[in-house]
Order: sequence, then structure tokens, then C-alpha cells
Amino acid sequence: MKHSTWIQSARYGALATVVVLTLFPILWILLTAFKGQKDISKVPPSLFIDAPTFDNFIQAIEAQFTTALSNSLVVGIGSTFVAMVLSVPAAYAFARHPFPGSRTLLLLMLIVRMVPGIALVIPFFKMMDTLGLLNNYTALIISYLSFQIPFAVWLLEGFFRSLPREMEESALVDGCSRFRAFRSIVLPLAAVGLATAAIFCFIMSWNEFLYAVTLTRTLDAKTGPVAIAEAVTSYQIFWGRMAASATMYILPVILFNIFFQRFIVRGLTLGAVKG
Amino acid sequence: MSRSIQQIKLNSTQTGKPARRQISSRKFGVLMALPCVIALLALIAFPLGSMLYNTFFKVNRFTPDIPARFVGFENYVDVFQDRYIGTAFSNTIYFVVVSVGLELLIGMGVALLLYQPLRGRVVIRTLLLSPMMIAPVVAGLQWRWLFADQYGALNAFLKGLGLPAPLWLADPNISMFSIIIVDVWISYPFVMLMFVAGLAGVPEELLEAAHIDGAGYWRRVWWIMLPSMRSIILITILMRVMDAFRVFDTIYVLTRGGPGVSTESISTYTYRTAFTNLKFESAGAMSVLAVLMVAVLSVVLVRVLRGSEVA
Repeated sequence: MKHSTWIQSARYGALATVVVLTLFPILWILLTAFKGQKDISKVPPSLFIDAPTFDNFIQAIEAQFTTALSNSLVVGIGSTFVAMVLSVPAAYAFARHPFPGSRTLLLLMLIVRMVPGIALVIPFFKMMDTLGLLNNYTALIISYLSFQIPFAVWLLEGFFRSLPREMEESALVDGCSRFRAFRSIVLPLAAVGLATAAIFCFIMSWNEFLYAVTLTRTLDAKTGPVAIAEAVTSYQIFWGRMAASATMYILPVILFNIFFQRFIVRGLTLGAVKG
Repeated sequence: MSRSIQQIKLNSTQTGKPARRQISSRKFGVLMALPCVIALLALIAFPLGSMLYNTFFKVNRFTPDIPARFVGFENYVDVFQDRYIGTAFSNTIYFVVVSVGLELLIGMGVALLLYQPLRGRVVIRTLLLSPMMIAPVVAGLQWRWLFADQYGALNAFLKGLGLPAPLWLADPNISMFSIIIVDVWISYPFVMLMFVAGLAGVPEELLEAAHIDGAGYWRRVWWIMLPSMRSIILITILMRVMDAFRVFDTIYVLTRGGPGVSTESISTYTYRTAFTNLKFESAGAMSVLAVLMVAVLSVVLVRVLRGSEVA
């Protein structure tokens, strides 16, 4: 299908506009992170920084943003690990060893993903309060499992189903136990799917806000998004500090997206549709 | 991998054992799924059930020792009599309809732009995914900074063009629309990605045949591409509707539901009822109603999924 050069350049122009509009807000926050108070309150604001500075980063670190970062990391790794340990065998069972009701359970996973967080946060709050887990990593890890597990099971079930059956079957014929076939044959074959699911579980946890703001109080457990949001409230507004901590928080994710885009694209489309 | 099979083969021949009696496939499935199912019961069924139970009681906050009083549906009656719940509900519907609508249009447009062979397609697609990868809180705050009245980049740009510079977040008439802008920015990449996947599945012979028959570009889009992507479009809509329905993070950091209650959504209003006004029972009743609405929506989703084998 041939297009005239005029249409072709219009297409490039439209795409360039979309890219600029999409990336500008992120670029702007990165720029703001390096602006001093003077540059921040300049009217009209400028794309160029008169006096680039690291002050905002120093302020963010002085406000112990690094502690929030490490909290996010601990909660992310912890919840992803537990979610994977529980989801991988279940997804494999749903894909390869169906039992009465397993189809319904799988559909329930999809429905459970639709339960709005706000409906769970109230009982979680009371539960964690009773168990003395408020403001504790465990509270966040437990509550994050509620959305990580359904997502991971749904994604992995499709993935396991798409693998060839022959290798497992021949292992069974050769006297290998079902569990051994799963561990030594299926898991290595499914490495890409496992990585995709784990990446998504981690990013979901890294970006989560509702449970984090409800179940944590202090830097003992407070995660990055809560700390970032605290820089800009009706009582205090520190644009510079917010921009610097936001930069530290989103840069790893953006780089990750660029380097692992194949996993990301696969996870997003398969996770939504079905493998 | 082939090595591990050989090893296993070797092992079984060395020991000379007859093929082991396997536990049945069903039993194995149940055993493997059991921990996960128990975890989900504890994580979702139990909390939702206990919340549902609690919505039939009233607790006096100041005398926690006195046992809760059974009140039947009183908490639900309270919800329906609440002054602002109607606003929160209609705000949410407005938000869902307008933002999902815009996301579909923009997502489809960008997917079509990316459809034909193009240099740097993958790079562009990857860059465009950035908004949905970053934390919604950060996305909200960076837009709050762009929307800022005096120092904000957006109004400086508009003033530069000689256009009016509205109070994006402080004017109750447009604050909800400002939040929609942010949500569209965050979520259109997801729609685009789904549609790119959908377009890849459109049979090319059909497109070429239509082209030879003299169908113009938009006709091909309307009569061939869209119909063959029907199921992907439906699923995308339902996924986005579910997600938009629970909007919380962006509103929380942009306006906290204000000015007044102009941007209060079901989620933010329930949150306020529970954690600011400390009316846990009313908030519980609101959540139960929200879950019911979502349940109805997901029945639709399951029907669509079953009706169209999108494998």
C-alpha cells in the first residue's frame, strides 16, 4: 500500500507530536529536579536552567527518602517472592492438571482482579490493626499479594498452556515424578514467563499507593510513593524536593522499561487478554 | 534441558525400578493449587466477608467496650442518604466515560500511526509506554506541577499563545476534566499497546483485497480493521472501565477530591468516609456497593471472554 510522501511526512509529524506530548511531563519533572528555588519560581518557567544544582537531591536525602526507597525495595522483593511461590504451582495446576472446579477458580482470579482496592483496604486496616502489623513491612506484603497473585496466576496459566507437552510427558514415562517433571523440565522452559510475571508483580508493588498510605505511618515502613506525595500537600509544597525524589523513584522503572521492553509488552498484552 | 531428561532416564534405568506409580493428575493439581487458593481465601474472601458482616452493625467509637449493635441495613440507608455520595457516583461515571472514551480514540489513533512499516517503531512504542510504568502518584504530582497557576509550564505555554489560562485544579467546573487529562496521559499507552497487538492480527489479504477494490484508508479502518479487532477492543474497554472505576491515586495527589467535592470519586469518598471521618461502617457499606457494581461489570467481561475465543 503506497502512500504519497505528503501523507508519510504528516504521519511522522503526528507521531513526533505524540511522543513530545507524552514525554514532556516526565522530562519536566526531571528538569525541575535540577532547578534551584530561583529557577523553580521563575515566571514564565523555562526549559533552560540558569543555575543547575543538586540541592533538591540533597534535601530529599536529608528527608530520608533513601529509607523510603529501601522500604519500597524490601516490600517489592518480599511480596514478589511470596506471590511467585504461591502462584507458579497453582498456575501450572490450572494449565496442566485440571481438577473439578479449577476452571471456575481460574475465572475467579480474573474477577478478583476487579475488586477495587478501596473495598479491601478497610478490612485490611482493621485486620492489621488487630494483628499489630500496622506500619510494618508484613502488612504491605500481605495486602499486595491480594492483587499480585491473581495477576500472576492468570498470566502464568496462559504461559504454561502455551508450552509443548511432549517433554513433560516423556519425563513422566521415564519414571519421573510429577513434581520433578514440573521442577526440572517445566520451570526452566517457562523462564521467560516467570521473569515477566515477577517483573510485573514487582512494578505493581513499587508503584502502589492506596494500601501504602493507609497501612504505614512512619519511615519504618513508608514506601516511596507515600514519601513523594508528602512533599506536596496543602500544608507544604516543596516542588524541588518532590521532583528530585520522584526522579530517583521513576528513573529505574523507565530504564527498566527500555531495556526489558519485550517482557513488558508481553506481560501487558498477555496479562490483559490471555496467553 | 535435554541433558536433564537424559539424566532422569539414566537414573531410572540404573536403579532398575519399574515406572513409579504416579499420583493422579487431578490430585496433583489440587495439591499444587491448594496453597494459592487458601492464600486467596484468607486475603480476599475473609476480609470481604468480615467487612460485609460488619456493615450490619454499628459501633460507638467512644465506647469501644460496648459490643457492636446489630442495625440491619441502617448503614446502607445512611449511604443512600449521604449528601455527597450522589456527587461521588456521578463524578466517577463522568470520569470513566470521558477518560475511557478519549483513551480509546487516542490509543486507536496512535496504534494506526504505528501500524504501517516505520523506522524506529519499537523505540517509539517503548518510549510511549513510559507514562503507564511510572507510579500514578508521581504522574499526578508532575501534572499538578504542570497545572500550577503561576509557575506552571502549561499556563505559561497557553499564555504564550495568547490563550486563556484556566485554574486547572482550583476551578470546580474544570477540575474533574483536568484529572481526566492526567488519566488519559497515563492510560492511553495501554490502549495503544492492545490495539497494536490487535492490528497485527488483522488478515492482510483482506486489506489488500479491499485496497484493490478501491476502498480508501478510512473505509478499510472502519470496515475491516475495527471489525476484525472486535474482541480485543471489547476486552480493552472492559479492562479500562474497571480500572478507571477505582481511580484513587491521581485524585488523592492532585485535588484530594476538592475543590469542594467536585473531584470526589467513589474510591476517594469512601476513603475519606473511613479514614478522615472515621465512619468505618458507612465506608464498608459503600465498598460493598462498589464491589457489587464491579461484580455486575465482571459478569459482562466473563461473557465477552467466553463468547469470543481470544486465544
